[in-house]
Amino acid sequence: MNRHSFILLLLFVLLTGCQVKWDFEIEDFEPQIVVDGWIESGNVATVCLTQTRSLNSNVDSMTLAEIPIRWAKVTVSDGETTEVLTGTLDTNYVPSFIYRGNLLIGEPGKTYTLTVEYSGHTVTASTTIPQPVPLADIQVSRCPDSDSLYQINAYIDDNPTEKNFYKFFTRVTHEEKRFYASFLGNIDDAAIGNSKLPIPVYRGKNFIQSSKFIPYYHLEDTVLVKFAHLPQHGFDFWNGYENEVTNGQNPLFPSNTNLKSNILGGLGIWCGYGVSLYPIVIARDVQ
Amino acid sequence: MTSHNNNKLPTADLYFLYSCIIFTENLRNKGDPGDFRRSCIWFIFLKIIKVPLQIRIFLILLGFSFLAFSQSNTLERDSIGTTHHLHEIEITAWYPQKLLSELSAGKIELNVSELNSLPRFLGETDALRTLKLLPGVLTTGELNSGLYIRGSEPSHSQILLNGVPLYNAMHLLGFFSVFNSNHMNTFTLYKSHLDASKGGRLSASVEMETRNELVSKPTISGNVGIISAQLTAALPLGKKASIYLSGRKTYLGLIVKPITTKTSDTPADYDFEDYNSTLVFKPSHRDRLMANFYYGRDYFDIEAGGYLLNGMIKWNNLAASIQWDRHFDKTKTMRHIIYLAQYKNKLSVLQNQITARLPSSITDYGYKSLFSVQAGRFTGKCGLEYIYHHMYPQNIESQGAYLIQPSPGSRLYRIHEGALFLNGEYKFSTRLSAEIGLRYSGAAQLGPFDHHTYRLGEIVATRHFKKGELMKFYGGIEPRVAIYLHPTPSQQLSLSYNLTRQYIGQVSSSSIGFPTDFWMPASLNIPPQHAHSLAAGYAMEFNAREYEASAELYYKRLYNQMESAGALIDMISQQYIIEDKIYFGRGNNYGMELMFRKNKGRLTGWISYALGWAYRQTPQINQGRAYPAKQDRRHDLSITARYQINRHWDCAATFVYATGNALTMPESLYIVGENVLCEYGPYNGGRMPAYHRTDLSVNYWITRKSKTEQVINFSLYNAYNRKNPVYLNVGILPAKEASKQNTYVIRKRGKSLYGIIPSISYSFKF
Repeated sequence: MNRHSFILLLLFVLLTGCQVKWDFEIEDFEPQIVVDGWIESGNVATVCLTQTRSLNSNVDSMTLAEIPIRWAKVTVSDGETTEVLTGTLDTNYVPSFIYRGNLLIGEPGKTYTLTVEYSGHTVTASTTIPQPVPLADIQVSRCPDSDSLYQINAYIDDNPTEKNFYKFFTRVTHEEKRFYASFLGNIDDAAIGNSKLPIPVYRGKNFIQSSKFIPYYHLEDTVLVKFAHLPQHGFDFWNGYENEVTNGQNPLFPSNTNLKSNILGGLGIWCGYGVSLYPIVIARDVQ
Repeated sequence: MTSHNNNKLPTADLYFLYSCIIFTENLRNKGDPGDFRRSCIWFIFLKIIKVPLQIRIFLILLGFSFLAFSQSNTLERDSIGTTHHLHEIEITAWYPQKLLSELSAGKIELNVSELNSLPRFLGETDALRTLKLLPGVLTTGELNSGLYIRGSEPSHSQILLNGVPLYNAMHLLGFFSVFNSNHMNTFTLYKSHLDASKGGRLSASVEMETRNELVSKPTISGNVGIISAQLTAALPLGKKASIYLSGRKTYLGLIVKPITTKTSDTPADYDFEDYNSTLVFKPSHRDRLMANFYYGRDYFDIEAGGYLLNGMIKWNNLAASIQWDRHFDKTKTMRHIIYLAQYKNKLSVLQNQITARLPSSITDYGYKSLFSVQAGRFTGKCGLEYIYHHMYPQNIESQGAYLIQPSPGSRLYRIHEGALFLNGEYKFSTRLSAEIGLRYSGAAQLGPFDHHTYRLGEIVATRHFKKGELMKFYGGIEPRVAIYLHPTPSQQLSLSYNLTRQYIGQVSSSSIGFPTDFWMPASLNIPPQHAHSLAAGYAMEFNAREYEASAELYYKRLYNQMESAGALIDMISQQYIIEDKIYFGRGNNYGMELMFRKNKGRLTGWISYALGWAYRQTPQINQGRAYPAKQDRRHDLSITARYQINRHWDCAATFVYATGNALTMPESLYIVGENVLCEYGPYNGGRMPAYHRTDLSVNYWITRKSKTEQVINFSLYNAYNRKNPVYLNVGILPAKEASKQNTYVIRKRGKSLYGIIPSISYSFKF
């Protein structure tokens, strides 16, 4: 090798660099049933059924059409009445297929059991709807460091003699067709203590808009705030969910633990919520 | 253990016994026997008037120190008549020195002045980076500041600057160590046998000594690189004293801030600086007093526009010490060090006039003494060590937000750690020697402290401990044994056993050794760690010491290892109870290390290879089954070579290869609430890709004499532009093609920070 070819080789190595291949060899992958289901006080049961997708090296894409489970038998029982939910196309959700009840209406204090049977597999879960807790107050104000963004603050009257868990969901009506879990919207009442300070109600987040996510609201937004009183298994799941969504790609504080699920034989959450709903209009005269 | 038996602590009597040892040492050097009686009377008097034990000990030791010092001055005056003064002769010459000390299994000394010959990162020479080229010290990638030795966590290795512990020895998230190499003299790594004078950590000790010789003329040395500059001045202060002053500062912020402000919506700023000073005072040829000071600080600030959020993290190290060395004669020496060490870090987030802070700190007030004596074939050491740890583990604070609540009650831990040690080495013959050491160490947590008992995150009971009340005491004996066999003068076989105890541990909330990783003491609910270590080594030299080779086997059994189970989000959504977020388990580290060195000739360097396993077992993780520690590293290879072309030019190259770290791999993904979630495989069951890179450098020595040097260094870090991933990124993105509506690309890729980094720097010494 003469001197020139050596230099050319060196330059080639330096300029092309070396891209690293990260092999994902997932052996014996079997899709798991994922439940995203809820029953609220005063409303029927709703269940989105999907399945997990392997991260093996030979899988590099997925379509939303291949994720939902469409042919499952989904049953909800309150111990006295049992109802089989009906699978239906609903473009308000992504993926656009849900199972919805018609007969059973959620009642605070009652326990609801979910059974999903699909392709020889059965998954079950159970939840209770706690009593709804109304907010003491809810207010809108302009973000102090911005001219165009607004924030919503809520005040909770927590009963100090009970152990309670709360969760906020939000929906900006002209942009969103469903409620999303509010960013940092899970509250263990031990964190509130006797404090009367406001709780920020941030906007919910989903993966499609996650790269341009802003947790605040704009002028003339109509925001539906759903304040839910939920059982501990719901809080545990949503708390892990928040960490996974927020820190799943954080190199410094990575999330690498599986979510605490109450679904026996599957993943996800089946949760009862005692809810109160608050429509908020972001108006110009707010300071 | 409760407060009523506080006065029954055996340590009080042991400390007193120690005072007697000091007295005996003084007596042998013509001390006054009355001093002993006086010290006893003082000790009892101070006890009667209820002066705390630590202050009693301190006052007695101080008294003895002054006594010994006044005697040394008397002796000095007596011997003036016999002193002969020699004229100073300066011989100027240059010869290549060895970067590493003579080969000895388990101990390696690094000659800092020779670091210039190795490749640099961004123009900076770095001793800690060079340590990672040695066998048993694991190669770490970018964004990882830790010193992982023989499969142990970084917190198991003690980094001492003139005997003072430093708790976070890295700048710039691990890119630079905090040590200004122009201010340093030697770095010594002990990784196998720790004699009884070394303790407080399970695995290894890195001891750094600053320059400590007297200078007759002012000298100045420095380095100007592409992101930082450093300067060291050595100044004579009369004939008996000198002072070394060093400073280093980065100008990275001047570059980063304008670029990030213009090109992104997350402008960032970064700054670090550090300062060293060492005052050396030699009042006599027997005594040396040194006052050392180090302060280093890092600051990082970032804004996230959409979130109306400003994040800031700063951390700083402080070390200050006074050291007195006395050589009674050629066979007897003593050393006293009194010091202050502090590490603080604070993560602050300001969002919409709501401020959340996550501070933690550790402050040590310490004293250490060491007496050495050599009598024929026997070398002995004894001494004591006392540290008052003032620890404030990570705790969230807020202003203006109700959501983030400080943990109730004081979170300040007051830990008193102490040790007494005795170590002896005896040479039975030229072929056989043995070393036996005994160390008794202990730590006590004292009040005031409110100890809460929680259920479902709420306090159900509180026990108040009064000021000075003993809450918990842990202690135990640490035997140390080593046997050295020399079949021939050029060969050494060694075998050692160590029991080590550690009373403070580091809780890692990040994956990379982030500065927010905080220290927790052994306390009421947290047991101390301990380890049994076995090592066997063989080292040989041949061809008139031109070549050296060594091999070592090691096994460590570790107890009460801490694993952090807390997620960042837990601090926000619920009452954050640190003790609930720490799991305890056991561990095993074992492996083999090989090293081959060439010490002479134009080409010098070494090849080191380590084969290792590091497993942990914690009941709450992986269903109680053993799992690999993050730093479990099967293969770790380093090759370092430097070639002396002529008097003006030399070049060097390093190559490192290391098996990837263990990590918990996502195996599948799913969707809930229109967000993508991952389902993970077994804890630490996956591997990052192997880490490897080559660094190259060329030095042009403009001048190279013993007292003046000028060199220009050209370096290529990561010369073949390997994209070593720092973390794994998994997510989905909408497909760009119009025909693929509702199709998402599953993105699984390793994110690397950078590829090749060229640099140029100018170093000088006048």
